[in-house]
Amino acid sequence: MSATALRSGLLLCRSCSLLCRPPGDGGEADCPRCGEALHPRKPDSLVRAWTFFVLACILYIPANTMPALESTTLVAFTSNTILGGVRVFWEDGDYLIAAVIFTASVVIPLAKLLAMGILLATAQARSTWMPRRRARIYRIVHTVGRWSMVDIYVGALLVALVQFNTIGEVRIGPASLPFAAVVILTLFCSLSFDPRLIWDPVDEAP
Amino acid sequence: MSETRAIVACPECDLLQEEVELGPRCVAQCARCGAQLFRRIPGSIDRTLACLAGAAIFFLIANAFPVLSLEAQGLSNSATLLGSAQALYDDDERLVAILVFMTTVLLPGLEMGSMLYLLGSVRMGRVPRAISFAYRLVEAARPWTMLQVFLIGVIVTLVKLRHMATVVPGIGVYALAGAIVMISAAVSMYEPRAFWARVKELRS
Repeated sequence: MSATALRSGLLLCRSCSLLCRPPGDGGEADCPRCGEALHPRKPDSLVRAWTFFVLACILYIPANTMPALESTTLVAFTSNTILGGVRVFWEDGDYLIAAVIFTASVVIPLAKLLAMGILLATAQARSTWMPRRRARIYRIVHTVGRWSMVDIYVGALLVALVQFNTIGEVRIGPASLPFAAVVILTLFCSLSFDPRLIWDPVDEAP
Repeated sequence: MSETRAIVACPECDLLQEEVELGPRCVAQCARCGAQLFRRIPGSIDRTLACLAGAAIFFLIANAFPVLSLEAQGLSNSATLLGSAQALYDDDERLVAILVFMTTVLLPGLEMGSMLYLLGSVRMGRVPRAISFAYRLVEAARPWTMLQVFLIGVIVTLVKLRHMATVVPGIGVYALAGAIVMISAAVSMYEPRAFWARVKELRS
């Protein structure tokens, strides 16, 4: 039985970390220091996180199967999916870049979806299974998520640089929008998930 | 509403713990889940402010000069931070363009500007007027600033195009690298507790 803020009737401000005592009437309150709305847990954490999770899973499919980049030169038109782009780097002997793109665009989004799926399912089931490890997984998911944006930036730079007056033309393909959406949705998913939900069942266990 | 003292709650597992006195540059971690609770950084406000000022100058330069230039058949074409978002916008990829603009220009700029405003005011002995708005803006913008990721994108683009054309890194990319180093330094020196403690002193 651990003493938690929830059990002691205290509220921790999510923005400035001030520990507050809520007003006696039990109504809504804002943080007296920074004005952020105070909640014992992020409101509707699981419902919101699940929604972002499911949307991200659906969009993950077009993001990987549709062309991400379409380039036209005087001699050829090529169109590549994200994995196809990785293969081009690999065949050109740019192994490091191929590995970076593969990790950022394929491994990280997939690992993130898998990890969030496990975190959400165990929190939903009020599991008390390895909470410390799950808390660590959450911290990792939260820090690596943004690196998936690399591919979008490469696309933007290519479009800006390669234009018909020079060597050809590059346009980003139809996969870009769903891919960007997956990055955003997984970020929203991990932001709306409240890691304290991992520990609540542990605190309530007899 | 009243503040409670000497007790902290872990933001990640909700466990209540007694505050401990920390030595300089030490970190207090949650006893149960290992999350970072707070740190003690001597001169946090001054040091963060110094690094931020440097970061802001680098960031302005990074925005003013091209990050990459491409030369082929006697013609050249260059891309700036803003220009790459602009190119997508003109190409009718509006949503992706807005995302690129927000994560590389708007939000990093707002985050740096707000932090300079908050810490700068406190440094000059005033409680900033828009303190709660600016503070929450910084906290909300943080997960969405991706300058480091953009820099990796520049490097990947450089490698990708080198077989087809001459690609030259511009002043912008060096300034961007400088900004990233200074921002990381600022973040490592920034301790919200030191800021709020100073605000409390100023208010009383």
